[in-house]
Amino acid sequence: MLEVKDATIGIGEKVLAQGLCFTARDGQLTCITGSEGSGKTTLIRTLMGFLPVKEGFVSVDGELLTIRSAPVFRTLMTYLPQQIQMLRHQLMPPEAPTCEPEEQTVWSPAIPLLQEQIGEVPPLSPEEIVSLASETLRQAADKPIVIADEPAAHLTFEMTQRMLELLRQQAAAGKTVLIASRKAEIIANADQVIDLDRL
Amino acid sequence: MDKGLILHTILGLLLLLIPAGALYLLERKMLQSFAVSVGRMVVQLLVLCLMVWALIRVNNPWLLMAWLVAMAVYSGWLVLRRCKLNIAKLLPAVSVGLFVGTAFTGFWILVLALPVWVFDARWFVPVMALLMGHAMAMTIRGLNTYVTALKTDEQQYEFLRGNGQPHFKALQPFLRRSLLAVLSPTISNLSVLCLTSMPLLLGGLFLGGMSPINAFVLMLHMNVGCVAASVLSLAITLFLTDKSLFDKFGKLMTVLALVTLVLSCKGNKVGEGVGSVSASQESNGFYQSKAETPKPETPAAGKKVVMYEMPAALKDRPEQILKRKGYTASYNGQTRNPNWVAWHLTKSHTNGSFQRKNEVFTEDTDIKGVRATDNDYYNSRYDRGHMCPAGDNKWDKQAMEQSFLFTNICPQNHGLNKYEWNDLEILCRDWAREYGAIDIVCGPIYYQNTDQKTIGRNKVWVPDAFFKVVLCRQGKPKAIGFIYKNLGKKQPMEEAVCTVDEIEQLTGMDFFPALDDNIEDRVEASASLSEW
Repeated sequence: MLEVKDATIGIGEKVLAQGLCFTARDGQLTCITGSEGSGKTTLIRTLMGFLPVKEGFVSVDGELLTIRSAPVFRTLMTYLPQQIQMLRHQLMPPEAPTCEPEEQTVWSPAIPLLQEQIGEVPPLSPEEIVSLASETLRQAADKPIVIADEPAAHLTFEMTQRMLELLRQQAAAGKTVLIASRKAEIIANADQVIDLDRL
Repeated sequence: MDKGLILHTILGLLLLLIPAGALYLLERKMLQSFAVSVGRMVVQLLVLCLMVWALIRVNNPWLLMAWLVAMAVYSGWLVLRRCKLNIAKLLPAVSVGLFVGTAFTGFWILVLALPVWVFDARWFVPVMALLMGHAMAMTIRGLNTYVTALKTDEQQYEFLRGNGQPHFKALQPFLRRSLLAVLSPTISNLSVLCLTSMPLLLGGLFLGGMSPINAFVLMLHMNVGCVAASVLSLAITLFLTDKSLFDKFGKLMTVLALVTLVLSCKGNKVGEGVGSVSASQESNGFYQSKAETPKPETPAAGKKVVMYEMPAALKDRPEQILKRKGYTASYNGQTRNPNWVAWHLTKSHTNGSFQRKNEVFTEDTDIKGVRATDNDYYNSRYDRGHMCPAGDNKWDKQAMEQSFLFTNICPQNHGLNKYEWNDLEILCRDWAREYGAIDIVCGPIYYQNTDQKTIGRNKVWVPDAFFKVVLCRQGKPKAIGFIYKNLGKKQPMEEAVCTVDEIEQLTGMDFFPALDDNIEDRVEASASLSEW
């Protein structure tokens, strides 16, 4: 169970939402929605302790979540981030670079030239995203909280249904499932909807 | 110094006549810089010799340690400069990493493996210098890979943290890649006989009167020591830089990382929170080059690539966007010319085997309605002037063919086409080779929009002038513009230079809108040929 009481959230000086109060209960699917920039991701990041609450409290199973205690609470959470399609290297670790032997000997005091190494990594396909999500959820079967930030943002209709099914299963297993999403299919399937635009 | 030594030195230096002679025959301009660098080499060598000699002569433990510290700081500076990281912020960490890694391994070898008196400068100096050099080179590789991986895959770190992994556990994939970057070349090099440098070192050892077995053992220890020192230095460096790389929330303190992310998932929505974090943390950025360095995009399968060269859509005149292999054109059905032609010129596109001589100018059948034909130009006294030049399309047969479509052609004065415009095209290819890639847009300018002179039955408008704007995103982004009148008179390039803003005002187009607004404003406001 995740509780938010009178919380003010924001980044830096900027306040995004004030007086937030809600409880995400075990066995329920809670959906946070709101227009672009209304603070969905910020709220999620705050609930995970990546950002501090400006005012008010966040608690997990009755215990206060702070920046200090957050790492411990995060061991109870499964997290599917917003940019899940960027996690290619989580699903497929990069190979060791192949090197041609050089004449330079083992000790090469020659300063290596660094070419622009920021390689383009192709994003994950919808199928891969769903398989990464289900693998992550499977490994975290004993964690009581599931947090998903826009889990269907990069999915096809069919894969959205699969993802939704996965998340519903988690709730059915008695977990607290918290989703940030603007997709109507997901909002329609939620047990509780928190709209950041209507506070 | 006796006369014999001077004579022999002069005789030895006579060998310089061979390269100097070759330069004299083929490239006289370089003779001076050759002479300067030979001079510098001589001075440096002399200073170095005297320094090492003094170290050995004085043979004081404190002096030796001071020398090692100085080497570590200098090497750390080199590492950070090469990796383009914030020197002020990270120098202590890297220097300490190099110092400890080298000193530990060096003392181990000197005390336990050889064993000799540690502070005997004749041993201390070469052993430490070798270890330090290798550790530095490898730290460059390792640190760069680590930071680059963190930048591109920051999401993975956050994903692991979000799923309850502690900080160093979540860093494991990145540490692994860093280690591989250091050890992969070492592994492939270990097995290769070092044919040139090893005999030199061994020769020195034998000159000093060492027995073959001792020389072998020493070299063995040095090889092993180098590998150990590089890994140890890297480990300590990464450990110590950690505090400077992450804030107290475990968030990577970088502006560039976020920018990279925004660019690479353009088209997919990027978290609203993420954008504002970057703004609030700007002051923490540890990159020397600030967020102003959008990375060069290379097309990748299934990936939406930001086409920086594309101007914004035109609203005040007809336009039909035509995507070609080597360029994109905006065709204007009224002028029968392109509004603009834009392309991303990479180094690899500046050469190729496909020549223009086999090509013929072709009507563009993608244009519905009136379009320019070869007949319009016949006897018009105007050249069929390429916008995206054939010379930028030699890399591909289809690209070369498409550059001869009339939607890439404007009526151009022969003199301009042959001299000034051609010079500019050549210069752009030079820039693409120098910077890796540039973005170019060019097109016609009509000073009055009525009663324009036309040629041929299809009434192709004759431009009054041509513009070309060039953007370089390598390093600190910069842009430059050129306007050439469509006349056959001499137009020096310096006088043709103008800012992108000026051309935007003249043409009513918006160039490089994909750039971050601040960067766009900055690069378009000024233009200086000397900066290129």
